[in-house]
Amino acid sequence: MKKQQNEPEIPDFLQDLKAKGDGFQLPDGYFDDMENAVFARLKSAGDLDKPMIRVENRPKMWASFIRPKAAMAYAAALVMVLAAVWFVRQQTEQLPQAPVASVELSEEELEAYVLDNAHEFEPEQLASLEPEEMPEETYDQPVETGGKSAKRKKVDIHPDDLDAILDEMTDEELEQIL
Amino acid sequence: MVASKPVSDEQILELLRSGHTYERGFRLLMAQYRERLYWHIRRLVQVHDDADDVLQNTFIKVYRGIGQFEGKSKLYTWLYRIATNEAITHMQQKMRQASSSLDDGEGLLAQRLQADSWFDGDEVQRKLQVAIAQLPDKQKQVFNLRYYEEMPYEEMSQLLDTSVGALKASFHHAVKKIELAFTDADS
Repeated sequence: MKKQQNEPEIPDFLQDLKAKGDGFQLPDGYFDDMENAVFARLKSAGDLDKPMIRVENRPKMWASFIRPKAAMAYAAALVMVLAAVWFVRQQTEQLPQAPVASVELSEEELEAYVLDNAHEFEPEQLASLEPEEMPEETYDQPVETGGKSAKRKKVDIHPDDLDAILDEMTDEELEQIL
Repeated sequence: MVASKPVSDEQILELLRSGHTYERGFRLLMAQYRERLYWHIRRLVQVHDDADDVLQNTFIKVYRGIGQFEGKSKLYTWLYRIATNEAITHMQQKMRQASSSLDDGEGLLAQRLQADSWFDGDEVQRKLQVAIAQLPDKQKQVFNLRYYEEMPYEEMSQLLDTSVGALKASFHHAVKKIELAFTDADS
């Protein structure tokens, strides 16, 4: 045995045993009989009558482009993809124009719509509205008080109680609110 | 025997690619690799009749599946893996069938060798085969390839898709276990 670097050692008794052989024997002419047996089994299973399964080199990607059928398939797929992209782009360009172009709204109607659907707008968009016209929901936005972020609480006050509250407030407090 | 001199894998595959020469190509493939595969299988299953069954099953699978051979490895590597899987599956079935009657795996293996009319080894040779049979499958393959076939580790690395370091470690462990089997038997 050719000695290799850092090769694990084989004990002497195994080296001696190897010289004796492994004790395995096989019948004379076994391999020819085995081949015949394999073909007999293939024949009885009908494998020899079936169309041959040929060993083929797997086609490379580029090679498939030069075959007519494959090239047509690739071309058809490309056309379909391009058509789909064109169709989707057409649809997305048309969508936002339709409702705006067909309906004319007054300024009051637009403001009423915005106030009724304030939750659907960004705070920046609502900020462009007049302060007194801000919807109730916007009071939930954080306000800066003394450098700390806090939320102004919504208080449900009955209209009958409002006059009493205002009477109790000092002039300074009223000025702060106004 | 069809082939009297070695033929290359390419020549065999070329014959297999054509419907007219497919059978001739397959006979050449068998003639080229049958002995090498037989001894690989025999050392895994140990009994001649079992080795014969496994070898025939291997070639039938090869006949039916040669179209799936991609040529990324050597033809023998592909054949070796099919044969190994067949042999391991065969042995697992044999051991399962026999385990109900014999609890002792070592005793079962020794009995199988005793009953094989195509084994003429003495007591020490039988003991070695029983010790090899008890190794884990991977260690068994590595030991047989190195000890009997004297295959270089680099070649074995490609065949078993395992690093040379791991193969040397497997062989080292296998030798230690076999040594231990002989030491235990002597004491």
